[in-house]
Amino acid sequence: MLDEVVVIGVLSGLLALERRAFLQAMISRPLPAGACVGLILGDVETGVAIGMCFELLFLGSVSLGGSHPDHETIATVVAAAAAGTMTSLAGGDLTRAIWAWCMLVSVPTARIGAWIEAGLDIRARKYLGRAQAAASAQENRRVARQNLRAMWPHFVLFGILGACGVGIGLLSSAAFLNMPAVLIRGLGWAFPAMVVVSASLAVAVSKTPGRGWLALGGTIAGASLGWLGAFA
Amino acid sequence: MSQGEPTLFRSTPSGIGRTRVSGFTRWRVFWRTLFIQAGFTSEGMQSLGVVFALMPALEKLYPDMAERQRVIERHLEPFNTHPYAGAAIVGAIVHEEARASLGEVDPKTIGDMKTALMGPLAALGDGFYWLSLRPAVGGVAAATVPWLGAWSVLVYLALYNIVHIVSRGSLFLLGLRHGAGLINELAKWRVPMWNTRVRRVGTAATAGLAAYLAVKLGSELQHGSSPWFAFAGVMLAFLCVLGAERVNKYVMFYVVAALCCVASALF
Repeated sequence: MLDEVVVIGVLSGLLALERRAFLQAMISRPLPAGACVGLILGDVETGVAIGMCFELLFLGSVSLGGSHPDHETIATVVAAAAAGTMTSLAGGDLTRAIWAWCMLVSVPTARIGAWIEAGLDIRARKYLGRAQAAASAQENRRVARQNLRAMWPHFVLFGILGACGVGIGLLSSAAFLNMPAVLIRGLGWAFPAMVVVSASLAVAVSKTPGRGWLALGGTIAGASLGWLGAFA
Repeated sequence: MSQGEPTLFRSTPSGIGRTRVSGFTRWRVFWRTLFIQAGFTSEGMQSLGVVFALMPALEKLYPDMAERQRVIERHLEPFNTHPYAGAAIVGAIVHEEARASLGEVDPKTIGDMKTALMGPLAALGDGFYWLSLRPAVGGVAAATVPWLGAWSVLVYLALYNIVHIVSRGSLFLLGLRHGAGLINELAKWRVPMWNTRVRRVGTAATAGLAAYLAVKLGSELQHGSSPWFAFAGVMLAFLCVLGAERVNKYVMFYVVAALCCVASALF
């Protein structure tokens, strides 16, 4: 378990860097990030399910002009880590309820992640100051290094936060299993409803010309496929 | 300057563009543009990243330390743009600094060029990559999860990064080749036209996924009224689309979960 915590912490830190500091190749997006966490914990299905839901929920979150949108990566890592831990302890029929529970618990970490990022941007002013001082002293290599030095607080803080997901899973397992059966069944129903809500919100925020007709067409096609698969 | 030294590009108005920036140095600059946001600060924003990316070229163009110091201090001014489009501006800066090092242009015009380019390129990059391509690819990849499972991640990364890597490299070369004139060349790419097309794909995919999941997952609730649950799911999706601009998304998320728990208690 400890080695999984460490690996998830390192992964969380690297994903936080990939999201902002390096490359931005969308590996830190919820779907890939959730799958990575699921792979580490040996439950890819859980990681992908949570990643899919959060991918749709945060589809419209955009960083424009240096703003700090909610940190979808850390929310996904925490949720997937917690869910992967809980399903290994009590999966089976409870799996979807566990997914819903962990998503509800981890959503606030998205806002916490945004606050951390904003705080670190303010703190990073000292690296700019050091760069300006180094430039005045003609220490040009030292100027360039300040850019990379500013990365480590992101790696450490988001790594710790991501690793806490496993702890959240362990701590909330007992409370979850002691819930009334009716509530657990309700959470099991909640997971598909939450995914539908997330997908619908993704349609609503698209702001595409003609989105009403596109959405109608997609809905007819999707509902038909679903009906054929379920009831035909 | 010797005849055997490598050249940059000869597309300057005067037709002269011999520099001391080799292909390896240009590659190093491009690689470093991937870290343009690493040292993002609330004050200078991407200025540290720009200096970090430019350093290999500046070391070649300005062997005199005092002159290089002045150039670096000039580029520590606040700078912010889309990270992919930043590669184009860094390429343009290398082009113009090469000319400035030869005395062809006034170095002050490079700062003006940065200021003039960063806003329009930010709008272009945000509009296409963040508001069109990423939601579309995310929607399509999420829509393939019920059939492909974890392989949908590869769909996501492949679809996005084919466009990302090719365009990022092309933007850098565009800036390197045309300098301050890159915005005229970029207009030929007709990016806004692609914005709309790409967004339409994403909208249709996510709508289809919402409806499919509403019906399929509703039918799997192992309850006698499964078709009604499926129908309720589609109605839920419809209500969410209508209410998206009036209600916070997190409120919807938690309210739906609470309603499901209440429904479980009632049925």
